Amino acid sequence: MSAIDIKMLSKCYGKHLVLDNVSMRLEAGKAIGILGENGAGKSTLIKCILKLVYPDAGHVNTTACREEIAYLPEQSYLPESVNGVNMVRFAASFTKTQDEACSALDRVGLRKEAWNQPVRSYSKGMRQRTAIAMMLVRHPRWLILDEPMSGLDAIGRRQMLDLFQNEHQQGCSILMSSHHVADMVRFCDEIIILSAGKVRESITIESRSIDQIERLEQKLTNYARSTE
Amino acid sequence: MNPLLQRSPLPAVLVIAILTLGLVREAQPILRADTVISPYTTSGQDKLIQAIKAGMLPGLGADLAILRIFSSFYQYSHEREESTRQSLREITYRDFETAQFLDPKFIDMYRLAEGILAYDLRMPLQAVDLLEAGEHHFDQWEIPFMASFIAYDQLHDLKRAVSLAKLAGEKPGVPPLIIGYTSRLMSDNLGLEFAIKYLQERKKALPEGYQHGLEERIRKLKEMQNVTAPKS
Amino acid sequence: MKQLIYFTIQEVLNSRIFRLLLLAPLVLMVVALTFTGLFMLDLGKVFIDTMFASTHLLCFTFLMFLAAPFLARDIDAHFTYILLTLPISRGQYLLGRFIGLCATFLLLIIVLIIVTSLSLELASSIWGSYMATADIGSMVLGIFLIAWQYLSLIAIALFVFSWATGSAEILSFTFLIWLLSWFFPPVLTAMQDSEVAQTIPPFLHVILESCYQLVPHLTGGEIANRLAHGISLQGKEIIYYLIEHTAYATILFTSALILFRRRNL
Repeated sequence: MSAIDIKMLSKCYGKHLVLDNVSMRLEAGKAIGILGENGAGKSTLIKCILKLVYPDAGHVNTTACREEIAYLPEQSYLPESVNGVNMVRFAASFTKTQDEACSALDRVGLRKEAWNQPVRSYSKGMRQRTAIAMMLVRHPRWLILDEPMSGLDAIGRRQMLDLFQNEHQQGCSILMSSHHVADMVRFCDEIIILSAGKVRESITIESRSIDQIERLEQKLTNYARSTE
Repeated sequence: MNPLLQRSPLPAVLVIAILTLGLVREAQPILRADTVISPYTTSGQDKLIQAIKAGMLPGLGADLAILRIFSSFYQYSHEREESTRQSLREITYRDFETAQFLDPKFIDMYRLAEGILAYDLRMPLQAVDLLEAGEHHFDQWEIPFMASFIAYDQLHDLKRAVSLAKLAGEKPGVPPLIIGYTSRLMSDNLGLEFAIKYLQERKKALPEGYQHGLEERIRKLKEMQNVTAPKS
Repeated sequence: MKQLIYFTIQEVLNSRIFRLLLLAPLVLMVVALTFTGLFMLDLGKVFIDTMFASTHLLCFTFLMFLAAPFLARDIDAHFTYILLTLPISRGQYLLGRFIGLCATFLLLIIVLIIVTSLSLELASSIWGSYMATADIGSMVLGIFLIAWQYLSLIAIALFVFSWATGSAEILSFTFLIWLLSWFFPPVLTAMQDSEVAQTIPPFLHVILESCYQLVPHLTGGEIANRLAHGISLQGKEIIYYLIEHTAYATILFTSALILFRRRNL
């Protein structure tokens, strides 16, 4: 089973230290959340894992190959002139699963009438669904999600979580970053708290109760205040 | 795998591309602009500005200059105020120069120069200068011929008229009429002997069917020569 | 990478601006015929001048309103995040985008050539012998050579893209380089005239003369002028021209690859 090993990762943007000696091991088969306040370094960490950004120190080792990893960025821009089904077919062409494009769109709940419409006519939620369909059609082993719930309403968030839960139950490993504590507790098996570029704590979720949510929120607040 | 093969080929591609460029530059002859007799009253700086304005489309720049000539000439024709007419003359002439600098092979410009520049705008000297500067771009006899005619008719510059007429005579397909005209100018300016020699040379270049007129002319010039020669 | 090339072609073909550009040659043909009718004798030359001007206009519009913004959107809207997490390398991404853009550009040029050939036939039927200097072969060659130059400008846009932080930089620098390529060669050619050379200070003359050695001597202006007058270009000149521009494009594209590989997105 593939894992992602992160050792002593550091990254600066100018004089601003974004990641400070971050080390962690992301085991396959789990749903792992990275929780942190705005500016904690969550997106940068994910970009370092995906080699979109090169760290100043440290390294990321993964046994997963590129075909096995799918990424959902925080804001999913899709070219406006292409329609939804062609977008998904494009993503599927790398794993030769173009025939599954329509079923992927169906799974994410995109209306059939919209499949052949250009993306410029889609709402934010529809674009998000199309981007998720682009991920799922490739049958990845790892789903890396950067703030997947941002901009969605409560119903949208619930639908998204159910979708990811479904994938996880089918054996997909998930790495998700967010600052929504409740969503993370409901969904993840393990939560790593990142604050001011440092790993503060790694928590295995045993209970998905409101108390657990409140305790985590308090911890997050304390860490955020201590770095100010 | 061989470590050399594992290295990125990009630096090699970059080096090969730069070398190719260098080799091609070496192999190419350097093009130089023709040294043309320049009639321009505009400065080298003006020419540079025209080149910049035209950019990669000097031909279109010349076309637009011609359109400006049409427009300026129309205004000139309807203008009563002499000072404005003078300004329009200058503006129009600069457009002629611009057109010639940008596209010296544009025949429309020379046609306009023969007509409106020489006779309407009353700038025969500038017209002859323009036509003379451009005639070597063409195999047409009309351009040097018209320059010669304007030099003779308007400027009364016989010497210049003769030299331009000779240029016209050397162009391919020149009709006998033009050669006859040239010889008349020559006989008035350079003497009968010169005119006879010129006609004998031109006769060789013409097809047989066209030679009769020239032979007749040579005969008449010789008679005149005999008449004017001092009797021994 | 094949998939990215097809996707890029699809993206461009479906865009509104490209569809407008495909219709533009028809409008330009009407303008060219109208413009040509204003002149007296050398109508063939004027017609070809307007066709070459139309080619430049179309190519410039493609470069500045389609190719450069297209690449800029990848950076601004982070579409690179999605593309580069698919199983393609950064080099394949750049090459795929470049080939896709060039393929659609060449399609545009083919449409332009077809429309201009038809309009030349029409013009010849209207104006007869006044169109004597204009022939289809010269016109097609001229359009092809002008288009080849713009292929290297697309490579320049890609080079700028490889290090620029957003659309403002990509558009500004691409436009600046186009501006230089438009004005600089005619200035260098004009400088070969003795009267013009006298107006330039000696130190600047040395610099400009060195630059003259670097740029192709067969400029777009000379191509346009010669072909418009029915003067054919030598085979050697054409080959040198093509090799030079291909070499420029290769140098820039390779530099773009080197820069982009180590870039933080």
